[in-house]
Amino acid sequence: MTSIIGFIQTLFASVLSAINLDDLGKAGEIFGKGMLAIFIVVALIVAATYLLKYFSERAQKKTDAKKDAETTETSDAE
Amino acid sequence: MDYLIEGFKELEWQQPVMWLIGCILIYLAIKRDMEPMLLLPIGLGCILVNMPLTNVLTEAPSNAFLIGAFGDLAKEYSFATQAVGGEGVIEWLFKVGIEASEAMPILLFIGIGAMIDFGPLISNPKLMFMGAFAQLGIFITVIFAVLVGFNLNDAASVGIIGAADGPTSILVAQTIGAPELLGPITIVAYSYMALVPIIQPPVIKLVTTKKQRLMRMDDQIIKPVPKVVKILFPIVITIIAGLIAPKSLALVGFLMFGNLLRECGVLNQLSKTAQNELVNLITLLLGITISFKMIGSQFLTIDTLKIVGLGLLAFIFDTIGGVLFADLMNLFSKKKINPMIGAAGISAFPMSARVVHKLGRKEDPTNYLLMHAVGVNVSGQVASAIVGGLIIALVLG
Repeated sequence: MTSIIGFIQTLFASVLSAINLDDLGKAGEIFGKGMLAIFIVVALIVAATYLLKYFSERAQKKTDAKKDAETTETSDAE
Repeated sequence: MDYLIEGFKELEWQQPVMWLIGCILIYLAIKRDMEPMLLLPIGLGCILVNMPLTNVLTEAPSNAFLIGAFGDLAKEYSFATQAVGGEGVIEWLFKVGIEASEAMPILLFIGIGAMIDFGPLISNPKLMFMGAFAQLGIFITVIFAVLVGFNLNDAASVGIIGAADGPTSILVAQTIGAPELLGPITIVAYSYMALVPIIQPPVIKLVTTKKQRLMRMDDQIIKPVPKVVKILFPIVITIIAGLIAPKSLALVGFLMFGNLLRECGVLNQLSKTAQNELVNLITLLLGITISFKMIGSQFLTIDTLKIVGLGLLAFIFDTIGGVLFADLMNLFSKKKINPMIGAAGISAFPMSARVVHKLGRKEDPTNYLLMHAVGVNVSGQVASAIVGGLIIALVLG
């Protein structure tokens, strides 16, 4: 049992020594920062899109209300 | 007569192997219809650049030929040595079209932008989050690439295969990675994009239940989007991406430029040209140019095999990322989303959307998910371009 554990420890150590731990740490950092950054960028784009739609719908409602008012005036005049 | 067999004498074992690889790519392009626009030119280019003593690469042909034909006379009059070090046509195309300013992949994005309709996405903007999280595979693959021995820059260029987008992969790999990895990265990216209908379905089934796959989205009607919003959308994205991820602006900006050509309504000729002639011309040249990086001695390495495995990992985790985020959104959303559409966040447009729709109809022939999947798919196109810029910025510091 001790020899098996020792073997696993040696294997683990040799795998770890083959890995550039500095680069691994940086890769982890890139993972965290990258996912956060894309989430923030997309959140801003989504917010901007909702705003665009809101102002566009508001402008459309004003235009429709104006048209309705003109139509009502015209039919009243007739 | 020695000059007639100079080519045979200079042949190395890697070159016939690369001819075989080129032929396989051509076969896949023609017989299997796998991304033929790229794989066929790359396949033939692979054969061209792996012929010894030709003028497609650095050495001009007259050098060895003239020395062989005229011997010392050629050397005495120097006309056989002039062309040494001169660029062949494929090397010239690579230096001008890719190395100088990554012009070819960036210009290609104009055409791609002109092809995209952002209507389904603008109608339901929150779908864009799935496009963002479907880029998970890129970052996970960077970590695995470091674990298998790549340095950080090379690992990031391998990870970008997960963008599932050829121009983005080429741009990032060319900017930050080792030059000899560009060829394998490009081949793997385009090959896996063509294999999306085979890769994605089993992964989607693994991370979803039957009940989830049967979910309908009929209550979420895709409303028509006002023209002014479709015009302002690409401008807004350009400004936001430019401010927060400036290194992505080359790709995102040109993508949005193409989209603006489409949506403005006054440049239909240019939009059609961008979607057809521009895309076709650049794709034609890009394929054969990329083959410059498929020289046998650089391509046939253990690293290439690692890239093949890591590329698959990237696509798998992209799919998982998109689907799981859709599940997460369902916890907070009244209007439930079929989580399969999250898988369409992979940037393989429009294939991924079609795969998801087909999978949905397999479960329930009356379930129509296509337009929702298209919305997520186009968001993945934008997100992958932004992530490409982010990767460059994070790696180069």
